Amino acid sequence: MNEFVLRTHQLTKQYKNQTALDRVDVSIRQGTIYGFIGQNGAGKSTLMKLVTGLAFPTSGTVELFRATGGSELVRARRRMGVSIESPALYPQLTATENLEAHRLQQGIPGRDAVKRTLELVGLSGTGRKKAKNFSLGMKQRLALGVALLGSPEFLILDEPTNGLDPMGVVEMRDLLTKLNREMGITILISSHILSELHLLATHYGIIHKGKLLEQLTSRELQEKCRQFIHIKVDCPERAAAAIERELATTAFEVTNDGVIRLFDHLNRPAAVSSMLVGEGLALEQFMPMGEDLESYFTTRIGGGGHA
Amino acid sequence: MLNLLRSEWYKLLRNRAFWLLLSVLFVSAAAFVLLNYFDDPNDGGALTGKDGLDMLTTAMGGNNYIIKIGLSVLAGFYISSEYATGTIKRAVASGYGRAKYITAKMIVFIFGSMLTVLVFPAVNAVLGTMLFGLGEWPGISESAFLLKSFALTLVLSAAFAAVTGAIATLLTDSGKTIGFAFVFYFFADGIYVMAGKHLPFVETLYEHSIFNLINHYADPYMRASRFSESLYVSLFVAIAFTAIAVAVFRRKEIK
Repeated sequence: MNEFVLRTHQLTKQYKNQTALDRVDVSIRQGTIYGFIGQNGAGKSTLMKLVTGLAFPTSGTVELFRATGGSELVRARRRMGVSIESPALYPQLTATENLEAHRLQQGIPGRDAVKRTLELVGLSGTGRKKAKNFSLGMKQRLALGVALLGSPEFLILDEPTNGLDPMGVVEMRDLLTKLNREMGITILISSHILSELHLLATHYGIIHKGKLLEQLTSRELQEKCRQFIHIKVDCPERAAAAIERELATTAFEVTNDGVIRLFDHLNRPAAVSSMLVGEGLALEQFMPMGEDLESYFTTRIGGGGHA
Repeated sequence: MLNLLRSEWYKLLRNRAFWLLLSVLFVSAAAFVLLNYFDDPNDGGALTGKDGLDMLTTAMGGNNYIIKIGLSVLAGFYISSEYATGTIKRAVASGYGRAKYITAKMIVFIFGSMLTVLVFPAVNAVLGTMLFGLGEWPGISESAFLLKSFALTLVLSAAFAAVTGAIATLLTDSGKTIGFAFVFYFFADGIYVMAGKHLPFVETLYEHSIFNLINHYADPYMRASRFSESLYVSLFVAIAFTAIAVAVFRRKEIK
């Protein structure tokens, strides 16, 4: 089993009367892509700030590459690349100059590193154009480039796909997958686009109101995401009664918009549809479906939430 | 630490406010000397600069404002802007201690401020000497006066830069830094004098503070004791306020 890159122990952050993070125990193993999911204000950025040293915990500890405090923890941060909240760039500098300033700061030898990174994030053709004139997507890529300079072992990315067009989202996903698979970089990533995160992450952490509700692998998520038959008929009440009576099951739910989700008889869809038609119901929609990350997340936090 | 200094220096050299200040000061200094050169007092002219030393002394008087206002602007755009752009987050998470990072930033800011503040008197002295000659003043060694003047300009600008840098570190916002520093420097003398009337130790404090020392630093007949006091008080203030900036930054949560 790979060793842990990051572990937090009962990590708590309190701002005056508000608990932003409540005894959180996050564990991220080397080589994983950890998708951090939560609504706005759930505590995602707070945790990232505590890990990166931007804020100080009220209680609890951060263990990064086995370093737990003091100068050891500060030094351990040299092994990570960070992009938190909006892309942090010098607006008056070009892409090359932004990377060069960071290269000098980190003491990375050779200017080739800047050139290579620009090529890696697809910004080698930006020339004298200043970062302030970049599109948000270009800024996101440059911020990723800065985070990647110096070959970090651990990347912390807060909403890296914000502002990217659909093509940019795909490119970012491919790049992160490549960094993870080919270079073994461990990634902690938060994103509002859960469908995108679903395609990328190998592990998930669900946080809600400062509490870590669950950590699970993508395989565990797959198992937990329930399969069902999605049924829309002209009269859901009659259909529900018929399902209960004819199929002898109560494993279904009727949503607010009149859709029935049948969790039983998944291997007999033809029999189910015949029964409903036989009951004189008009079938508008009928298809096997499964819960995805978004619906699982919504269910997990108690419904009605948006990551 | 060397990496941090190199990176900060790289950023300062690409800071627009820094170059704008240098350019404005250079052009205004050159214009001031030329105005003195072409403005003939015998023909109703009001400008009285008559030699290089004279131009230097006058420039040092005006430099008082550059030290206070110019450096506030530079601090706003060089230190506080890191918070606005979010680049401070990257720096803090970069694996150097906070104390090291802010010390490097303060050192480069102080050094950049010293360069900036030197431009106006230096251009006045050099160009003035080229046009009028250096000049001879009774009872004064010209070379010693030049040396003393530039030394005091440098140490006093270092002291004011450290105070302004600490303000920028505390306030974290360019607008607030510039605004607060303006107001603080504008009223500092008045506040000291007013408080000094009721509290004698404040009057003594003011007498030996950089706020008072800067009012007399262009005096060509300054006593040796006053000169050395100006040096060590300025150096002490520069070190103390750098330490204050470090202490503030170490406890600061980055939003």
